[in-house]
Amino acid sequence: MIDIKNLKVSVEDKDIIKGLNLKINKGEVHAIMGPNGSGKSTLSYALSGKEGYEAEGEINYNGENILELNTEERAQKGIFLAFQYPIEIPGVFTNNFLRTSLNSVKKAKGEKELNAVEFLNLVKEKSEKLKIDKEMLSRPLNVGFSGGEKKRNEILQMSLLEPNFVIMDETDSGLDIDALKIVSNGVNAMRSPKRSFLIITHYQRLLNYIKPDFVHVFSDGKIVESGDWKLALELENDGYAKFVS
Amino acid sequence: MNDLDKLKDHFKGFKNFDFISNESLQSRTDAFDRFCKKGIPNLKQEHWKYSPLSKDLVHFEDLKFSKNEDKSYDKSHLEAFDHYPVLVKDGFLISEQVSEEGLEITKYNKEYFYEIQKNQILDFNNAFFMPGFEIKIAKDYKVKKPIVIYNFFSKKFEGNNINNKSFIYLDKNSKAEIYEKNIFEGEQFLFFTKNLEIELEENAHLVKYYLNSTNKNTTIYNFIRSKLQKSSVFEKFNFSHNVSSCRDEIISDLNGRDAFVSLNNIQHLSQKCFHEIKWEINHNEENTKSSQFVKSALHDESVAAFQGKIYVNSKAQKTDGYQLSRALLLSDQSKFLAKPELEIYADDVKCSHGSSSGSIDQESIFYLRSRGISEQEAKKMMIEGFLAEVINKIKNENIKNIFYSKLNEINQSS
Amino acid sequence: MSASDELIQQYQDRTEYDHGFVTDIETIDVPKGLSEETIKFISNQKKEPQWMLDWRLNAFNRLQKMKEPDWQKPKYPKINYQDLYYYSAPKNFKDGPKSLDEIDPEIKKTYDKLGIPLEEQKRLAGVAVDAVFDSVSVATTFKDKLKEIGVIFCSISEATREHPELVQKYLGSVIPVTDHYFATLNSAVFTDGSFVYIPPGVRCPMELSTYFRINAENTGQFERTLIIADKGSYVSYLEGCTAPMRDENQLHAANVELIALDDAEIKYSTVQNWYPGDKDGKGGIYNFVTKRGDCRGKNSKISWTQVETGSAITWKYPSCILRGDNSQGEFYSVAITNNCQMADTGTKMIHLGKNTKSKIISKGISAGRADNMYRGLVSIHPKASGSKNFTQCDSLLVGNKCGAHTVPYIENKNSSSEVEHEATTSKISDDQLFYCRQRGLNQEEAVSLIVNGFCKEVLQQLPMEFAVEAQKLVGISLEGSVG
Repeated sequence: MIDIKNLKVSVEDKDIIKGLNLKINKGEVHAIMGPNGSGKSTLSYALSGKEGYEAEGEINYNGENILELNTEERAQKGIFLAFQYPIEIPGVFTNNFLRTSLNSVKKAKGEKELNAVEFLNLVKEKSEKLKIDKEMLSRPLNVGFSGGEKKRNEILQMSLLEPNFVIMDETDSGLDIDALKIVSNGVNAMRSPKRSFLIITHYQRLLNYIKPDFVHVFSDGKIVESGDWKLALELENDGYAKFVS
Repeated sequence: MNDLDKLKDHFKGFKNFDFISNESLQSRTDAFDRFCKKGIPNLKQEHWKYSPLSKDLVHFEDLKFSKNEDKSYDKSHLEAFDHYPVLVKDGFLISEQVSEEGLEITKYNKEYFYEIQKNQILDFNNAFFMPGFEIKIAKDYKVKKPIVIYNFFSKKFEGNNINNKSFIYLDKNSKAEIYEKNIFEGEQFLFFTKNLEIELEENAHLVKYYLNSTNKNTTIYNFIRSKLQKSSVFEKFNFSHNVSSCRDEIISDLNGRDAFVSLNNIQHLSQKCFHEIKWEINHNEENTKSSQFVKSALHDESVAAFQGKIYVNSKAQKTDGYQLSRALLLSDQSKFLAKPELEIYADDVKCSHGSSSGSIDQESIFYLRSRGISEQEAKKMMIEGFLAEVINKIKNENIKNIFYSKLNEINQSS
Repeated sequence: MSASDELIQQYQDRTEYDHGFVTDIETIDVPKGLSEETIKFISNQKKEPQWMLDWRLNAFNRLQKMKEPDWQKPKYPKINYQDLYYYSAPKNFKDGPKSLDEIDPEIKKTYDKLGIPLEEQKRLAGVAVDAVFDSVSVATTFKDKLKEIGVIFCSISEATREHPELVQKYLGSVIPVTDHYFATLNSAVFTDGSFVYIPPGVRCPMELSTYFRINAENTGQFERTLIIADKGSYVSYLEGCTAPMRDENQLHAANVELIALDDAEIKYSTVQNWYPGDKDGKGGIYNFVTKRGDCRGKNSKISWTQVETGSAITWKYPSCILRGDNSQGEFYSVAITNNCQMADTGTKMIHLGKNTKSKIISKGISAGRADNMYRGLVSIHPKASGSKNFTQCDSLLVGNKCGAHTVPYIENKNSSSEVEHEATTSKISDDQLFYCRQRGLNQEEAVSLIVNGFCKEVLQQLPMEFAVEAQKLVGISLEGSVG
């Protein structure tokens, strides 16, 4: 599914990611854990092709190096980033945004776009599962949403777009325990042999709910240790000091 | 001096038009003399700083005055929803007069003239105006359907200058909604000044919408003076779309307690369009409230200016004055000029203004693109969302849809 | 001696103006009036070279064709320029003192009353004082120490004689001779002021400061200050003014020019406490000052901080021309007007270079029957891509006979640049006052505390030596305004 080879990323001439290798097969859930400032968010932006993130190396996605593709092209191919801080866009209504997004992806895939009624039925079904209030969808995108509402909105988008590769950037930050359960249930429901996840997190907490197949320790722009989910527990108990020189 | 000499000749000729009554002749002559004394506006005068008018009006000598006798118009421009039409063609009211229940629509017939020292275009308008409409709403009457004012500008009009005066009066406890739009049939040069007086008695409520869209060679000066008595409300929504050169000036006097004025404007401009807003809100009584809200999206070489002033008299304690202008500069050549002004003489007030200009937020664009939306589409969504914040305040669904469809039309063409 | 003692006695009770007393010193005056003769006289007194006289006369010629501006908010009676004196110097010090010992005991006492005894100045850590008394420098300290590191800090007349190449190169290069009426007037008749040059790479180790006083009756004060920070240098300059009580209005039209070359930084702080006139608006100084900084070099920075509490009319816009790429301009201002005072002040930030940044924080406080106006311009030119401005203007009103006005001009002509402006108007709430008084503060202490809080963002920009004085001033300026 995804095969990252010697990825180097710099921002404003500052090297942040310094040679990252990572292979994620179909259906696998990988977690990347690391201390603050280790470049975790940079990785999520680089994988989504954000402008200003100068990347070299290879990001092979289904056998294609996507390094030169722009943000929306990657999204249309099924790469989804759940943001740590979903942005507020006044005036742009959530419903309208969701439909535009969904139809853009569908169009790129050569699928039939949804009309208003089809779309509303689909959103209704998906949002009920995530306990998302209908009223929330008629508000401007993320404006005035609570932390939990914003994250649920991210998961809703994920379930609508049905991506193949999901990057979750600190999804648990700012969530209380109830919201965390709803969000992880949403993610777990999406797990399938065809879909891969990369969970970026500082704390082990989220991994109690979404159990990863592999855990990697990320420090100073590189993966310094890999293991199974037990590694996360070890980190929770001993901290990062062991891995950070 | 040359320009004025020619204008003096024009005025002599103009005085012979049949619509000029003997009563108004003297006041027109006085207004014209005042105009000559003050001269043509220029950028150095603070009142006309940033104004497109001061650039457009250097050629007063080229002005031609005329009167159109033809009363036909293109009915396809009439709105589909149920309404009272008010038809104005080349400055004249041409529709039938309405007189029913509490609503009266007649030809403008007021003789009262007032002057604003620094505003010589108003003097010009007072000298050369043609009669527009008078709309009067009786006490306690709530007008059941919107009134729609159509300003037709015909291809066949021989002059190139039209000035018009109108009056709207709402008696106590009355309510009305008025939608106004301009229809340009030709593309010839035209200089149009419109002078509208609005008086709202106690507890009256007026909502006025104005769509000023696409014209190529027109210079427009819209002037509104509104006076609000106790507990009255005046709401105004302007959509200024690709107007080649236009100044919208509003003076609003809050003369009674609990009066409220809300002015809203969208500036959506491309090419070399230039639109200027000049608003002045005078809080003259206690507990009055005002809100000014401007959103500007500027493409190509367009220029938008916003000058909004909140004045608070020392009597007007507990004033609440709010003002916000936000502009998106969408091209290297577009410009936004602002002068948000506060003049306050009372201490127990809540007044604030904010003004910002800059490019589209790149983080938002990234978010939209990460959801598979193309960069171009993302920009369109952002611009539409940005401007829609004004439209969303509109309660009348018909008008809201008209404004929204205009917004879509713009986004599709750009 | 006796005359000044009497005066001191007389004004002891008048807390409104602590520094309102007159020093009795003989002065030599030129005849009244503005003319070529006056200018030649000034130039001659200062032993100026011919080019300087020519420069003045050129300004004078231009002045004949100029009109006094009248667009400002505070109006004032017509000034009869032929009825003013343009030069006066303490007689005993025509040629300036050689050392502190030569200072007239009278003047020394005056400074004692102001709280800046010159003898103490030497011991005051890191502060060099170029005290201007009636337009002529009477003492310059720390000169030797500064000389060692190549810093030139002297009077502008001395600089004209000793460093003509620097003066000729930079004088009038930020404020052109023809700029506007008062700037041109100053160029023609300026008497004295400070000159500072910081050589490349030097960080001036001490705060440079000048204390001004207006003394002789009917003397127009025309100070001229020129500060040049060469590449990679840094200087902080403090200016403070107090003035004795007068019945007649006095004109003060200073010009201050700052030039920052590549990577240089200038911080210019002012505490202005000229005589504001009495409660009915009689007397007081007209403070019409032109202050402008030119960020001429890349990565340069100019920062203006001002605390304006005095003068009958304050009319000035310390400005920054952000010419060099990545240059920065800052303006922090507190303006307090009480009784019949009027202020029309603000700044201009002209963004010409790429990635230039500016910040404006203005706090206006108006009490009594006073009028306080913020007027400012932020202009982003088409080539100034990636530039940013942030402006915050807050007004505080005390009572409903005063006025607070905000007139910003904002011109953004570059799509990649961002301009943000915010303004608010508020009052001191009764709840705040009650809270403070319940905790034992009296009305005036409470007002002073609250207003100081309102101004904090600006006051903390001042160097320590000034911050304390400024805080006191804020309180004193508003005495009697509430209750």
